[in-house]
Amino acid sequence: MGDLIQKEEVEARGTAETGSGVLSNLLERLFARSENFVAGRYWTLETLFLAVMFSVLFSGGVDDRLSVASGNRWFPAYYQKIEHPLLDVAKIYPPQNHEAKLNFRLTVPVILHLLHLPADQLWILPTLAAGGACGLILLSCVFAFKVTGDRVCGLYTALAVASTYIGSFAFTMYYDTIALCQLALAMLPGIHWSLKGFLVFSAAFTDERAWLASPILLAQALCSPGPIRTLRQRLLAPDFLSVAAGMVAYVFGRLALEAFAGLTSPHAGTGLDYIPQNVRFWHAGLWLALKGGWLLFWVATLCLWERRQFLALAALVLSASFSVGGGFLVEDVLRSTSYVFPAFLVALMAAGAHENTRWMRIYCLAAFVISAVAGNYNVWRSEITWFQPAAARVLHALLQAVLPVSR
Amino acid sequence: MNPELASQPAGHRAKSPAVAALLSLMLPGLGQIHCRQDNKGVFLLGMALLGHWSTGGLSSLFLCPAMAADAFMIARKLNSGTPAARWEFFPAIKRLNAIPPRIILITIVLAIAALTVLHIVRFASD
Repeated sequence: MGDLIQKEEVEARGTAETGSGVLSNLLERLFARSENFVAGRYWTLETLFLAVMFSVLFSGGVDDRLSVASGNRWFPAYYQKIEHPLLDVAKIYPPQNHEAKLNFRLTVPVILHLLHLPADQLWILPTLAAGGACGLILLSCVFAFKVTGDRVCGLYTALAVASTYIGSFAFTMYYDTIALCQLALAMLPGIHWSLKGFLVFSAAFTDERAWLASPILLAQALCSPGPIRTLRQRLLAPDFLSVAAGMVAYVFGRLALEAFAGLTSPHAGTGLDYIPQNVRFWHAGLWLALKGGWLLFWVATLCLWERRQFLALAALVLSASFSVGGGFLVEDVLRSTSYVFPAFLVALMAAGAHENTRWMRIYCLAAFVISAVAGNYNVWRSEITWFQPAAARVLHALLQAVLPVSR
Repeated sequence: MNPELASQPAGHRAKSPAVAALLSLMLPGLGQIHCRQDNKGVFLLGMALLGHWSTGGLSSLFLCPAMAADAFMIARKLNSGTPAARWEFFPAIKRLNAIPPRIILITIVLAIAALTVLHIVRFASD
């Protein structure tokens, strides 16, 4: 009840704050147009279409990655695991190879195996991964709508996610989008606690990095606005316990697979040895993981500080640091630090409970604009590569046609 | 305000039908966005780009002129003070206007799919 009154006061303050400057007028016109865009019955699908189109055109060379992923360069071990989910690929491939690390990434292979999908169809996994990216954008949109109650925030959030690494179909060769989708689904307000725990468990078996990101879901349980007040009540809430149970179940499941199915855990390519190599790119690895999303993260920390929710604040910052820190222990830096994405959703929730709709729109819009302007890069081993957007490629081709000198 | 309508808000300048048509002729969807039919414009823009890529430019042969005509009619309708629905097509042609928008959208998707198949067959035979 207290939260509701506080939110109403903030809404009233926001209405009074509406200025009359040029920027304010511009924002009002933009918001009005955005409201019109999301006014229809199928607004989530329309938002998804726009966000995917934006991602394809401006976020990076999607076509490049899709053609690579659908060709013969997709790692064959993925398909071997579909045929035999309990095959120990660490014994077939050298430990430093990517294929050797697929032993415990079992969720997708097991489902495809149970569905008897042919393992020789190379299009299946890229399609699933691309579908995962679409699912991630859609879930972000729905999550933002559920926590702010505003469709326009949902629209800007979807566009912000589409402008970052995770929404730019950069994961078309991996299971990461599927793992992040599972976590995002587990974070949706109103989802049953048992499903939440199961999704955390299965996400960790989709990719281990999801397990490192799972503490952020524990922070969500501590940050969530609601009638529960005391720490004890929050720690004993089904949402908190189910996430913790999912994480513990993964550890036991993994140990059981090692003991009874003979699967081994190769550690090559990960560990503290990689920190000196990766630390040179700490700024890129950290910034590019969320880009404009860090703005919301910062706003959320301020909101939690203002509300004197120090425990929730510490949980959010520590869990996000844990996830990002884990990313610097592997050579695929950005792909790993991007698992901090659930922190962006928690930040949306924490900020949405404190700020009025108008300010939430401004934050989400700013997150989108910053992410879109910043461009998309990949940080891998000792190099940073730019994903050339399709629009830039078309412009380049046009310039070459018009100005023969530039050839 | 009825969210299904893309009317001309008070105080806004009139939309030039020629500009709307020209924009859609260059890139289907742009003219519709210019006429505040954002959802329809975004959909057409996406389908036009996808279609141009997948059909080797064949889809643009019918989509560009058709959508230019549509944008022209929508702009004229808005200028006359009559609001246009968010997904309305060809307001000046009664028979086409009577067709539910979703049927027209499905027709566009199917036409692009058919042209894609045609393009692949032609590409394979070469």
